[in-house]
Amino acid sequence: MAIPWILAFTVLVVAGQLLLKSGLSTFGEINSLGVLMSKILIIVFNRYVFLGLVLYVFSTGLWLIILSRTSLSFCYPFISISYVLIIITSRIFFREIIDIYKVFAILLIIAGVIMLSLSRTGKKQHSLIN
Amino acid sequence: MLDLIRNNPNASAIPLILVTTFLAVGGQLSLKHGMTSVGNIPGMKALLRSLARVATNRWVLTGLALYIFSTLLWMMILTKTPLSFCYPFISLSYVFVIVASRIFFRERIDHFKILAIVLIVSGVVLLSMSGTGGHPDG
Repeated sequence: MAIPWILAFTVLVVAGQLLLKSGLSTFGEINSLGVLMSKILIIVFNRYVFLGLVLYVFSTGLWLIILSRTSLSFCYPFISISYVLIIITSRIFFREIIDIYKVFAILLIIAGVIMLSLSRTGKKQHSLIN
Repeated sequence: MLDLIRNNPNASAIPLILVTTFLAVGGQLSLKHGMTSVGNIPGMKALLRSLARVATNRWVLTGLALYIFSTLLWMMILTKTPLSFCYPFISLSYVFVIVASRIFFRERIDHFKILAIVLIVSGVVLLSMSGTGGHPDG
């Protein structure tokens, strides 16, 4: 069953994004590649940014495992659940506003993902170009 | 609709956004093809055990490179274009992935998947209509 893996992946991605966002917001506006490069070491070793990057690498590993076990057309659309998690956690951690559009967006995306989980075509299929 | 696009100050970013979307989808296809040839990996321990095989697979490497490159391009786009303008284009990637999975990997696309994509794309487009944040200029 691949769905728990895919959900774990989206949770990791979102946690990574939240950590990166918290870490980067302490540096003020980084408005050019030059500014980024001049501060790169302090930024990367900020504990939030660092932990965020670690989660990013870890989640990529998880994604490779998922890809080895399911069809792409099944697992890829599940990534959209991360938008739902981002909206909810941004409300909790950053006090961002959830308006009526976001509420309906969340409902549509969740309905879509439930629909997807009903599909029986998730199992790995043979690749054409192998 | 066309007028809307033509008069939008962000319209000049559309080609780059589309290229970035294609690169991201291409990256996923490449990763998928690579991991299919590596074979079934049941968990993290197994991934570490076959790390040498995964990390030297040229499809996986190409996929990771495209993944990183498209992420960098994406960040660049986001600094210049409001997220609300970019969101609908992100949702295109779901359509592209489904179509490409069918063409390249002969994956079966049933009614559930099609309905799922319609719902998800509508949801993502609706997100772009939200007036709360997302815009880098506040």
